[in-house]
Amino acid sequence: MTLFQLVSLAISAIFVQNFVFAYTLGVDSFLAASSKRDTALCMGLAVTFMMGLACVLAYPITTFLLQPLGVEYMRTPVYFLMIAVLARLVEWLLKRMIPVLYETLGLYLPVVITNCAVLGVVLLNTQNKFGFAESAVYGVCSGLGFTLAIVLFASLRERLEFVECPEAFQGIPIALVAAGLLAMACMGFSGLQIG
Amino acid sequence: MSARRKKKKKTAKTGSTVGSPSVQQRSGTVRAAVTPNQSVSVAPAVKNETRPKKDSQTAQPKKLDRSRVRAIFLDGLLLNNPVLTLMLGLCSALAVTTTLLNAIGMGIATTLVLVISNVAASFLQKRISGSLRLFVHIAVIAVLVMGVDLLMQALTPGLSKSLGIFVPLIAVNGIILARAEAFASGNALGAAAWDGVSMGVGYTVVLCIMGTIRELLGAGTLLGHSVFGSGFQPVLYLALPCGGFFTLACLAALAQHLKRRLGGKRE
Amino acid sequence: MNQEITSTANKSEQPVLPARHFPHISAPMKTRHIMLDVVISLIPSVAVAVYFYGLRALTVTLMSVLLCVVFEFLYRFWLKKPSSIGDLSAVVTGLLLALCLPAAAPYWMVAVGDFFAIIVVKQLFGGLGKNFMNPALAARAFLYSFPALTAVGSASGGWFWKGIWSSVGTASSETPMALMQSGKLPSQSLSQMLFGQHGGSMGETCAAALLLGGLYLIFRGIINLRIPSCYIATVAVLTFLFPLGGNDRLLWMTYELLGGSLLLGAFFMATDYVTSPVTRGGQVLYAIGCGGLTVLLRYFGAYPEGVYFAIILMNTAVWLLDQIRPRRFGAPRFDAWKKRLSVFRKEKGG
Repeated sequence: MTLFQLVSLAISAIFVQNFVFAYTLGVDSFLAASSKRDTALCMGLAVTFMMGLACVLAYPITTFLLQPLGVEYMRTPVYFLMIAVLARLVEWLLKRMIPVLYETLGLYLPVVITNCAVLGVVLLNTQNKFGFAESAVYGVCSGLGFTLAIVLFASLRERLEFVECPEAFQGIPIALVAAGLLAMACMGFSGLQIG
Repeated sequence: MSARRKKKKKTAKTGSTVGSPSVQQRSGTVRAAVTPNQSVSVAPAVKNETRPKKDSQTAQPKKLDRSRVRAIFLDGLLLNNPVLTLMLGLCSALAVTTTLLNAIGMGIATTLVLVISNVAASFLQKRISGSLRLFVHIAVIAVLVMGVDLLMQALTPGLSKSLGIFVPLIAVNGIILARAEAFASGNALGAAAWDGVSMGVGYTVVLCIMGTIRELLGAGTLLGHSVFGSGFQPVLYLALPCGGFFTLACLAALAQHLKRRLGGKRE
Repeated sequence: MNQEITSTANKSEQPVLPARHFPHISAPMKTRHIMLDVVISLIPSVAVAVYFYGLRALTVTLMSVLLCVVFEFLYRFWLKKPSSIGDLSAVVTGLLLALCLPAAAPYWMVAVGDFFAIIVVKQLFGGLGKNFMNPALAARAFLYSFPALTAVGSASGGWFWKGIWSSVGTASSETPMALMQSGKLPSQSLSQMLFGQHGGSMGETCAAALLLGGLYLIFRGIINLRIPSCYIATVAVLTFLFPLGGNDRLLWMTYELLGGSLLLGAFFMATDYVTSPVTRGGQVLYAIGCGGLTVLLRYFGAYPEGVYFAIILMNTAVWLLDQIRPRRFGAPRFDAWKKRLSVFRKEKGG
């Protein structure tokens, strides 16, 4: 793939194929971690980090392990275990070596294991038959798209504390309406094609 | 075990519920559903219910008795509905409910995985300890999902294709790991299996309601058959993610409203 | 003690405070007056739309306004809240939504749009001042759910009763915006773009009427020139630097500025008090963002008009934009940022 195509893929991954608003992956953490902006940013960065790492590692595992052995149907358990092991490993490393980063990102890594977005991006890479560079770019950029979505939503939720909605809608339902409006705004990007 | 400790530590530090919202609330509700009067008939379990549960490995797993059957089922269906109240498994709930058929298929598949996973978690609670248990459990879920995926590809290829990556993503469905940790690890096989069924039914019911609304209004069809005729203009955005968010918001508001009304009536 | 107090109260030199709640000095202008000025500024556009599209333009506009008011009244009535239709904000929403729609839009679509704008986007969050997204634009974006009907060309329903009852079918001519998305200059001349009829929504028709309305609002002090000028300037610069289809730069830029809903969006939608930033820097960034997104979506997006989605996308970022240059009264200039960075520096060192 040329550089222009990679840039186009990157922009597409962040805006057009936004994981939260176009594919609805990672919505659990999106809702749970977006009550405060700082939490949201940390969760977003943790997810981006894991997605990039998972995509980078998944490509050699698929190409050199699963495909030659003809066991591609086993990719779900293999990927899931890889993500779980990776999350634990990175958490342990951060705790020992960079405590500051552990305080901000490391606490979210166990939750990221069950984030649909991480496993989802790896599966999408396989489905779209991306090469190594494309997988890495797609992984990191879809994580950045997730981060953008969650930070925007967190700032919206800070504003939602001042709304006077009906009792039934207080709390999560009005946040979901706001998320729906945000998703509708992102519909403007659908079909966006640069080049 | 360390995963749960780490999660508790996280909520204490950041002050916000990350990942599994209100683990304590969930287990508290289950305990509250069993009043002292009802638990008299089950002799060995009575002592454990009055003692606060600190470590699941020292306490006896709670068995299933007739009084709990109804309580657990109501819990899964209405009071602590996994999608509307606990806010778990939303990824598939939003993406898959564009048609009713997809919703039904996904609901059944998830229920199957949930029941077997709960049974496995209940089985493993005494035999393996620590973070190794988490990995073994993850491995069990992943293999299970792989099995369900292959089964669906063989038996219902059309459905499997339209569900796409969301069948393998059942493995990371929040409900499965959350219920395993919150319920199945402290209960006997029967109770865990029944909880799996209840939560699965609750999940499926919500998915079906969402699927019906979104397919009827977003495409004008139901199960593939046109309902309103050719003059109907479907609301396209309801079949898209934003419509999913709106529908889920309305249902969650309804659930909250009903819960408040029922809670008020009980008091 | 008591005697002292009564004696001071009876002294004639003491000023008697008025027996009402603060503020004791206020301008006579209320929300209603602001909204009335906006309605007045939109009258030229509606008049021109009626001139070109016939009486149906008027009926669609009136229907939109009526339904908005009715929905707001019913919602507040049902939830036992004080009625808010007196502040005329529902009227403005109805007018703006009608101007975003083509004259041939069916009435039920107007009803759906009004319901979405008033109930879902505005009243569910608590009414005027609590919504985060422009109601009219959000409803217009939602009405893209009916693609067949929003892609209407110029409606020629005739003057009188013919066009009012049934929505006239799509005309064969393509709208200028659709042509420009594929890089071709529209067939209308510049003066036609400025004054005359061309296909599209009712508010896109006459740029001169919109400019007149915008100038009226600025003259009355309702809107600040900052947001519209930055928005239009950004679009101008971008379309001048990157014309599509190899057209002449200046010509392309002028067509882009006059065509579509840019003027409607820049003067009437992006300047909405509730959904635009409060700080000056935030407003400039917001306007630049709107402009950039408009050009991006017009050039590469799936819809021929990018203004609607551009503005509602920037609406979602307003809270963030206001935090970029937070104003702390009495503190030095970049005080807030210095404090944020110092925390980071402490963590790294400690």
